[in-house]
Amino acid sequence: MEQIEISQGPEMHRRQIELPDGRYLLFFTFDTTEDENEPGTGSEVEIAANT
Amino acid sequence: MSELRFNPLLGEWTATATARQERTFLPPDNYCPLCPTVPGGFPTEIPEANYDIVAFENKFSSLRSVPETPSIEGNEFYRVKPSRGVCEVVVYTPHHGSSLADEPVEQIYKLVRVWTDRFRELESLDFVEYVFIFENKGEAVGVTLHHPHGQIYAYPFVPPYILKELSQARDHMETQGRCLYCDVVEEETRLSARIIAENDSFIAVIPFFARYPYETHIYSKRHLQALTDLFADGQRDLAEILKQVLAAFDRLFEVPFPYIMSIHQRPSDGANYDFYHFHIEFYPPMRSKNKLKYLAGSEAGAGMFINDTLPEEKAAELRSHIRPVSWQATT
Repeated sequence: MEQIEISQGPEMHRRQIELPDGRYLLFFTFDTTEDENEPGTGSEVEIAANT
Repeated sequence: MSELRFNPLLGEWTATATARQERTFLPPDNYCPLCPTVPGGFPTEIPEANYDIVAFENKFSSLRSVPETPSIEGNEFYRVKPSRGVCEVVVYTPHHGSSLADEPVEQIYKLVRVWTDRFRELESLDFVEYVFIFENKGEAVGVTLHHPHGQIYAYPFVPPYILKELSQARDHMETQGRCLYCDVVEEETRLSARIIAENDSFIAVIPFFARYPYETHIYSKRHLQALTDLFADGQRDLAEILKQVLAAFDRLFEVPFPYIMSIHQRPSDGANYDFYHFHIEFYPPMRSKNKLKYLAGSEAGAGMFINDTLPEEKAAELRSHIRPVSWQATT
């Protein structure tokens, strides 16, 4: 199974893998640091370039 | 087989999804496909021994980004098109016996963040016009897996219920110059009898026009259209009011309270929806401890709901079960 690193945000981290039948699965993990009070900060995950 | 068939009588699309007939149906707890895959155990949908929150493409999907060829050819009258879209499952926690109501507010806050991420990404797909986040909880509303989870459907069109809301909100803005939902919030706040819970960013009510005895709506106090418009404090306030309402549901009859949770956001088709207003609707089917409200003749056949209760009385009942929420850690 291919392991693909997708995101590293300031608080929320997202890691994507491909399941054997081709579907994607996303693992979300979280740091405990405060985020900034800006709209949509919960979704500020950036797609990393190593895919 | 899967395709979209247009209903000319109602002007709506119906999805056929025959593979869903084969989906896992109420498996025993030790064969839950949404639990972590433990060493020596059977392989679940989630191939790791632990996780926090996961989202994945639904195995028994009614919409696919690369859809199947329709099983039947359409024509100008009976229109058919491929079921293009995305269906995701969002698993809230690795704890099989938990529920969103049982999870700490910190976990619900994380879920709000995940919903926001999924909304942002799915709405960016060029074939998606509406991202619908929802949860079915309890066998009374047709749940086939008890592990705490919700779903996301990214539709290639704006669905009918949302179109109707948009039409009403647009008309109100054009005729009154104000947001319809902001006016509902103002009216519910003025009367206060139907308020269940409230914080700086959100208000939960059994609205004046509730169709189900415990139908509960959570409205943003700020005029915004989607999860992506929330500030961090708004995300926390949303988690907090969700925790309060869901826990109150479970306290009502001292049973895990079934519901449909429906998150209503603006469409993702690129048009301007400044007149619309982000909110969440809950449709619980219970009307008392031992009775369900069924969608029968008037509701299913005519679209006319009959509520056997008064929203003001049910709101007072539900409000009596609201408790303060405490955060255990800084998130």
